[in-house]
Amino acid sequence: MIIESVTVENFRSFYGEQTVNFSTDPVKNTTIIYAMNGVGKTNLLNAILWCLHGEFSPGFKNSSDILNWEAKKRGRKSYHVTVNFTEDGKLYSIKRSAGDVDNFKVFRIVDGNAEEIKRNATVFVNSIIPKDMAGYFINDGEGSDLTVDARGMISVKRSIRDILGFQVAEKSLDDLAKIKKEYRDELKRFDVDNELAGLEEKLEVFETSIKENQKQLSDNQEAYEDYKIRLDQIDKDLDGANLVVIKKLQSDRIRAERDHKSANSDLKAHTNKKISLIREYSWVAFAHKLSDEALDFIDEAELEGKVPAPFNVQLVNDILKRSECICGACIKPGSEAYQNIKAMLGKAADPALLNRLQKARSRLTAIKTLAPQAKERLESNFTACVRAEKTITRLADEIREYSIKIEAVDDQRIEKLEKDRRLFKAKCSEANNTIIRKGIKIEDLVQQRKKHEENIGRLKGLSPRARLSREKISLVEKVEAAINRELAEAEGSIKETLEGKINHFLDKYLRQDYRVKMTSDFKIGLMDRDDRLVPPGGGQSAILSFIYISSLIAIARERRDMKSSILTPGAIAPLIFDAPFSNLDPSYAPNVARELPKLVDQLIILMYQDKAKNVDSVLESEGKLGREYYLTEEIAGPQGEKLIHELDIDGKRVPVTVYDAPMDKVLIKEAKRHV
Amino acid sequence: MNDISSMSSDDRDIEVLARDIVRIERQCFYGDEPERDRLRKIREKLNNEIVKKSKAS
Repeated sequence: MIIESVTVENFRSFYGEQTVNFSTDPVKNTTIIYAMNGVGKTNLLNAILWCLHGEFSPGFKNSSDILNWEAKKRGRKSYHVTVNFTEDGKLYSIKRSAGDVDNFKVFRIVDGNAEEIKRNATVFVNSIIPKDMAGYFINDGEGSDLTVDARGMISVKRSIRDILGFQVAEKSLDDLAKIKKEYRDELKRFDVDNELAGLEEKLEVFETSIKENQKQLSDNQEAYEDYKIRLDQIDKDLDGANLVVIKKLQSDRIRAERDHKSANSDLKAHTNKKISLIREYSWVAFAHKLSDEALDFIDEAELEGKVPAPFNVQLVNDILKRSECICGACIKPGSEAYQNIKAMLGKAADPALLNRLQKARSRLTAIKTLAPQAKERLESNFTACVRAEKTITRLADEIREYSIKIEAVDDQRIEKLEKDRRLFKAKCSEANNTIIRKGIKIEDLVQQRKKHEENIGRLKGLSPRARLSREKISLVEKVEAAINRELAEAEGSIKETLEGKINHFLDKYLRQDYRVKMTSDFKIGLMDRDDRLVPPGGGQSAILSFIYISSLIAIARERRDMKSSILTPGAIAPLIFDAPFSNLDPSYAPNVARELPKLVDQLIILMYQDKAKNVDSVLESEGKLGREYYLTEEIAGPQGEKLIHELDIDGKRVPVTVYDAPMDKVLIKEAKRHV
Repeated sequence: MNDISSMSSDDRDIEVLARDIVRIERQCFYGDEPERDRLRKIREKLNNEIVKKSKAS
């Protein structure tokens, strides 16, 4: 999307019909509109946003009072905005009116003739620049959710989700939750004996509880990361202290804490090993004595020559059956010899029994062999555990000792740092314990929910209507899971891309050793070359917001042709910035002015003229400045003591406040066209 | 985006249904369809899926 022009009529400070023609040159792609504060920059930006989507930026004040005051006095009842733009080489015009006539029309312009796009006009506009992303392209700065917190970090989770096209999918999830609730209510009515409804109710309780615990887990993870960052900062401050003694103690303490952490990991590993060793050898320990006795018994029997006997059952039976001895003698049944041989059956070895006995012996021997091995391995593990525990205790004592020594140093700043350190250590530990507890709790709840679902599946004798309601609930749950899966994948994969882009822009904008820090909960902050979080103020936060928006725009651009039916594709649209340089340090402004036009196809900057920041001169010298406009304020009143504001336009001083005018109005005037 | 072709038949049906529901939501969100109709349309979609499944079984 390239915006050719915008025409405003009786829109806020703009009386009558006025037009701005933006630069559409692919090289000189930047248009600057200069204005004093409070004259109409935000009005113009909001006119474009409103024309496209019928909405205003969040920071736009008195949004129900749009009709120009002078126009209202003269009986006008409506206001209008027209945006002309090209998309894929085709020209379009959007016209929106409100007041006594509410109207929204989109036209395709062919050979100067306007053909109205009657079907799906809103969808067409949204396909070019989705309304959930428009606020990032048409950016009034103040109204965006990019608020820098006290430590200089910006929470960007919502904006990331918006630019990834989450909004529609999230609305779908909200609606599916409503429908699921309806199905559950339906089930309660149809399930006469209340068995299924009761289980469903419990299931609902589990789901609510899982969500609550997940929220608490995520809050604690966020808090933990936050405390860790603060702790790191404090440690760096202590490390960089002027006092040599503090430096030494702090570095020793850091080393001891590192070793302490590592010893704790060792202990954890040894303890896990102990559990697996006990699992592996516990039967050996229990069977050890029994196996000894059993082997003694078998061996004793062998020594007595009873087992196995020197002849087996088969041989004796064959002799008796044939009535003939192996020496050829006849053995008559009932004879004394026959009876003697028959009596041997009692002592004859059974091969099957022998085989089983041998197997038993082999197992018993294995136990006997494994027992010393088990003893050795377990003893070694116990020793390692004790050693790790001792190391942990020793290091904890060392850490305590270092802390006492640091605290004893008579320095208010160090005292304060130590106090904060103790506080954040305690907070970290508390948050970490909660994270572990919540993790276990969620796992338990998920298991319980699963059991309930299985119980529901096993229920018999349900009425057909109750069964149908259950099927619907199950279907909704599966759809919810499918949508959530895609959202989680998209969010998970964007972190690295975003970090890469921000660091890339940091290199270009700042040319310093700044790097971005991004928490798992999408909070971003600037880290300096010593890995310290850059505090807010000094223009760095402004530049971080700037870079972040630039990165979002770049991501939206890459995602324009994305094929997904769950996420809304991205967009390529002009970047319209309101007062982007106002909070920016003059040393950063020229770099930003140099790089920003390279990011987008079209750049529109609404700004207060500040020559110290060199924005226009840099844009011009870089060959990026296409057109320049300025807003003049005409006031129907005497000048009195007030100053007449002037702008420097092409080397000339041009007044932008005119007193004793016939009416109050703001005029849009072209300053220069850079052909 | 999940590759539908590599999914089991049941998973594929759910994936298609999820996309259809998001499509309904999108049409309403971006003004193609009245927003008040979206819950009714999603319910219809879910009911059709249930009917399809019961016929198949």
